[in-house]
Amino acid sequence: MTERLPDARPERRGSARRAGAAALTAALLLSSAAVAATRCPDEQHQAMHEVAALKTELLVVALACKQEDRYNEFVTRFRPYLGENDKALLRYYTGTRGRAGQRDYDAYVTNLANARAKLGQELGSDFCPRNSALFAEVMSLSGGNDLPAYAAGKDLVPATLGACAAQAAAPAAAVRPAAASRSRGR
Amino acid sequence: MRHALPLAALVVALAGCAQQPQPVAAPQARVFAVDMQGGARVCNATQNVALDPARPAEAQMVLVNDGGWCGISVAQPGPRPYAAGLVTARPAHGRVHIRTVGDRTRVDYIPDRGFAGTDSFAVRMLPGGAQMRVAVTVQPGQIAATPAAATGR
Repeated sequence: MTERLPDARPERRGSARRAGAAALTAALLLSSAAVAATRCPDEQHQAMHEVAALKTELLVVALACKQEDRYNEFVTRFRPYLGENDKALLRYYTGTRGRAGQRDYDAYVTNLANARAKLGQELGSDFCPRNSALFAEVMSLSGGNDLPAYAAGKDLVPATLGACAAQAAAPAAAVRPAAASRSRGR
Repeated sequence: MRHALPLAALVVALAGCAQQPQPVAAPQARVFAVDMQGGARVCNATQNVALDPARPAEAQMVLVNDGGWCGISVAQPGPRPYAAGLVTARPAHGRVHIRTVGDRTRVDYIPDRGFAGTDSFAVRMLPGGAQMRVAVTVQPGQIAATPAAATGR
């Protein structure tokens, strides 16, 4: 469930980025409308959503800013914890809702990517130099046990999305990830 | 003519002073506009909090809830920002955002919409593990129509 991006070697970099961008764009096309911000009543559930948001943010940064290698290093280092978090999050959604829960989980992850990409677009040319610093921050942690406390301080769960809320399925406009080379004159 | 040579020498001396190279200030780390936007219009927080790994620091924060953040800046010697921050105790009625702003790390508290009252949270900074506990007082306010541009926070 927690997968590395294809190695960003020069001969593969172009195809890896195209594949990743295509996957992200496809996911964004399925994203649903925003819901009111919520916070999980249970701190553990809130932490699961925040770690998922952190992973999504780093993926968006990696694809938009050509930092696939750094994302792969992050995934490799924290793989056991990230894998367990993904499973726990899926269990949270499917525990009482079965297949509907699976759809809710998929919708949440998709909406998360959409929201983070939209925020990245708003930052324009500042997005890559600013948000790439997240890789250095997360790699300075002592281990996976620090991930929840670190993610809790990054305010990555979009206010329009919240956590622990059932996601209504509705079509929404796709959001293209911010591109590192595009200058938006900000 | 008798005074021309001393006067000329004085002019040359003054010109030399004017041409002395000025010390170049060390470049500061970049500050991104988005990190200075959205501050609460009324935010009073403990400044110059000295973090010590040996004992937790205590800080206070009073803000009017207009949807904006109220922040406390901390730094390692240099100054340099911390590598990362951990939220060790979550606020009950808001969110915490720990971010690098230039040469420092700023610990922001954002109250929940409509909340007024007291809150608290705690953070631990890396490297070193220095801790800071923050007591927050949130006064009622109205959501600002436009985000405030924070200065000097």
